[in-house]
Amino acid sequence: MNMKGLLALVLSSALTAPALAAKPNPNAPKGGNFVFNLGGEPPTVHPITSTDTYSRAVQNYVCDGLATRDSETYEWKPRLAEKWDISKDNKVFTFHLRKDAVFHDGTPVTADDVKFSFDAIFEPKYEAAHLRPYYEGLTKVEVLDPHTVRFTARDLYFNNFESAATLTVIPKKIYSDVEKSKKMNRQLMCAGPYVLSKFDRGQVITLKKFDKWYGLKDAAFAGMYNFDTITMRFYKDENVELERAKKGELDYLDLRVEAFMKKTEGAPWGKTIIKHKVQNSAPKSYGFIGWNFRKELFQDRNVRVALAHLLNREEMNKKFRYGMSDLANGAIYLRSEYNPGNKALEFSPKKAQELLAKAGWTDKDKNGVLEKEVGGKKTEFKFTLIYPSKDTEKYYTMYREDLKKAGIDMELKYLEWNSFLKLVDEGNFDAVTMAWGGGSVDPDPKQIWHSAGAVPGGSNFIAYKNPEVDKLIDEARVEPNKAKRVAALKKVYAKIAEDAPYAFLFNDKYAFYANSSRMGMPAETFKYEIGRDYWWLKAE
Amino acid sequence: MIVYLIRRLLLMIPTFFGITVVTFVLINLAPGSPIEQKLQAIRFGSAGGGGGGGGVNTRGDTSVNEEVIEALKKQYGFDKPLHERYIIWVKNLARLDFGESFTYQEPVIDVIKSKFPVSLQFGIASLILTYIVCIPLGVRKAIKAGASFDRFTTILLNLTYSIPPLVLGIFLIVVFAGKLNMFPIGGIQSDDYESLTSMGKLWDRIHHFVLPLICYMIGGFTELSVLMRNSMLDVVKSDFVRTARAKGLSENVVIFKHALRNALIPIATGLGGFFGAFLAGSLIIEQMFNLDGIGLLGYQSVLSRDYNVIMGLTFISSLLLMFGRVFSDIIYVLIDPRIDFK
Repeated sequence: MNMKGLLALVLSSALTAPALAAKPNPNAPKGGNFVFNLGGEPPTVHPITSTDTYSRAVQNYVCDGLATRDSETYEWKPRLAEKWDISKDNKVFTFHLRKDAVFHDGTPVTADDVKFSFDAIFEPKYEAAHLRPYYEGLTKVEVLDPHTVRFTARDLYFNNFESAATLTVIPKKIYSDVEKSKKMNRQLMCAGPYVLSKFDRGQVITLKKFDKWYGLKDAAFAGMYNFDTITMRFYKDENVELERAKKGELDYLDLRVEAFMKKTEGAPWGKTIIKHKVQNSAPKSYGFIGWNFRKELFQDRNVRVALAHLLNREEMNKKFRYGMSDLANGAIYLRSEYNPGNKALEFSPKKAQELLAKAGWTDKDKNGVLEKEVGGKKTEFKFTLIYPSKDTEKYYTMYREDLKKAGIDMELKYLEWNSFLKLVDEGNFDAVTMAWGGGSVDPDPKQIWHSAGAVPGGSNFIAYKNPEVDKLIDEARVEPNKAKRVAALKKVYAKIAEDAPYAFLFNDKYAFYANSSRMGMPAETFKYEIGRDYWWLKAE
Repeated sequence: MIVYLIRRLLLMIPTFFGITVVTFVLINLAPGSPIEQKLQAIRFGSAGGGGGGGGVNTRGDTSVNEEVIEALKKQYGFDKPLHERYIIWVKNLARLDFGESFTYQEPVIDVIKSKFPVSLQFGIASLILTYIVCIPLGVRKAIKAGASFDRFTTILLNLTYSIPPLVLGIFLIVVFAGKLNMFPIGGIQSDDYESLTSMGKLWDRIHHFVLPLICYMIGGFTELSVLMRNSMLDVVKSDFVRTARAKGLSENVVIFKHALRNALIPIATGLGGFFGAFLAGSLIIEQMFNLDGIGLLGYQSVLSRDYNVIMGLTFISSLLLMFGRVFSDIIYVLIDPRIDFK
């Protein structure tokens, strides 16, 4: 190969290589104790009855499923199953279990345990009704032989495989005695890389490396789970967490943008605790103001777009978010491959005024508030915005002032979370503000955007209905080919953005965190997560 | 007195029913029952309380089917009407069964028992320390009324009274635990507690106790000192003290033998709070210092609508409060035999 050819090859591979490619360090030193703050205490770590995020964080270390996503490629990777087959009609998934996988008591993981783990969720005695909606797409699990298990799906839904692959596998021997297992709130028996060794109420959870974990001998897991022990604390107060970190008592902590910018200046920050501001492709949340389509006021698209044009997000981002956020351009994370790339609506009182005039809203009586004849009666442009978090009040106070200048009277009403949710569920509000989490890398918009969700208790609480969007969502959900699904959903998100059912707020641009200087890491972040499972403790 | 006590004890029965019925009805009327909490967890991925979570229902469906809702209702006993559920609760109570916590999935009594020692330790320690400091301080302030000592301590007490425990807590943590590194930041014991000697254990506990205890005591401190001072001042001005002085008794005898006993009467009311000390718990302090006590439990139970825990705590605290009142009355009589409840 001549020099030119080589250069071309180097250039082309540089162009195609993912920008953030991070690789685990297979020679990472082993040992040590990794301490971090869980943020709260799990009320129970029972694999069937627990519901909170804290218990899930513990279970991620202690329990294994059949397969898992790669942090860098997002491809499925073997875990308890060494391989799997998917039937042609995409409805039957056959998993072949590893023969060397054992639970923490040393008994082998079998197909029977997998079947039991699934059946237990639908067994009323376990009181796991809350888990059922996640597995409703699967009809049955059959044991073909001790190491082969078959899941059958009800329909062609693209996420069915994920439900089967991520099912937490628990030992039948231990959990089949319902009464005994129900008392296991602070014990956890699974087949994951760590054993739950101590759970002191109010104090600490300690995990110990499981020396019989199958992954220790498998090259696919080289460089992962390097710590001998993991200690989890339950500090809720941010000041306490920061002080603890400064004293060297925490090896990792998530930071909010305020803490990153304001509370972590000067030593020991940058010396014994290192701050990070990283960008990765993990989906980020977005905040929104939703307009209730049941109210006549918000049924005109011109009005909704005008209201979005009056939201000064650039200023809010500068003032309250240190300019560290992106302005959301729709109902999907800005950098997601599903994002159709609509133009984010800019702050423009002039455009808003024109659109409002087009919709028939003018201030004829010059009293400062826009009005319109509705059903022969003069109606003023007034509405109430409900919100459940005082922290965000400053944004809406600013918005209210800009609306006022445009002749719109918005009242702000703060409500406690449960009371707030009651009104939202009943559809009994004008405008509402909340935030949706980032969700999955491969999203399913049905929960929030399909008209089937415009029912009491549904997540389409603003009652947005677009038959075209419904049809596209229904088609995309049963499309196994990802490229085709991406194309269909791009159309969905483009239409939603066009309809402006929400005034979209911000997408986080960065993830902020800090770690003690004792930590070694292959990269600041992986493509789809920070990648703490690849960290190690540096030699003293 | 005996008749009075019996009457008071009998009166507790309707009071008890009054308190529990009102609490039971109120918590059941508030939006967000345990079932709704579970449904929220399904819809929002347990992000309740914050700004909402996001689309984690892997089926992507928007509403949970009727069968799941029915199963949840049955699971929590919500398939029965309100009054029936209250009767069941009272019946179970007679067997000292408080039911099961929805959050912890453990018997309520076990949950309360696990949090109880922390709050009890702080409750008793702060009660005793407050009395030990405030009574002599109040007496001295009364003796020196108007003098610089009185003025200085009044300013100091008012200052401390006006500091919210939250601010004080952060200040103590940042300065004394963080910057000066004199105390641990929180918790009730060190990680290596089990390996310490007996003296080491005691010292470790005390070390962990100092900062939160200051927060616990700061408010009550001012109230009790000022109450003691004013009560003492009133007594000192009364005729019998003047007579004692006129008889030529020494100032110490006048103050500590004659006046103090009478001045203690209003203070005695507070001693009924001794029972309250069993359940003393402050949400803010417990959260800040990472103490796993009753205050935090109560707050979290209200937020998560853990009805059985709320009712359990209501029952125990109302019982302690009522006994506390009776206890105060008995102390009144002990201090001042002239008082006779009829």
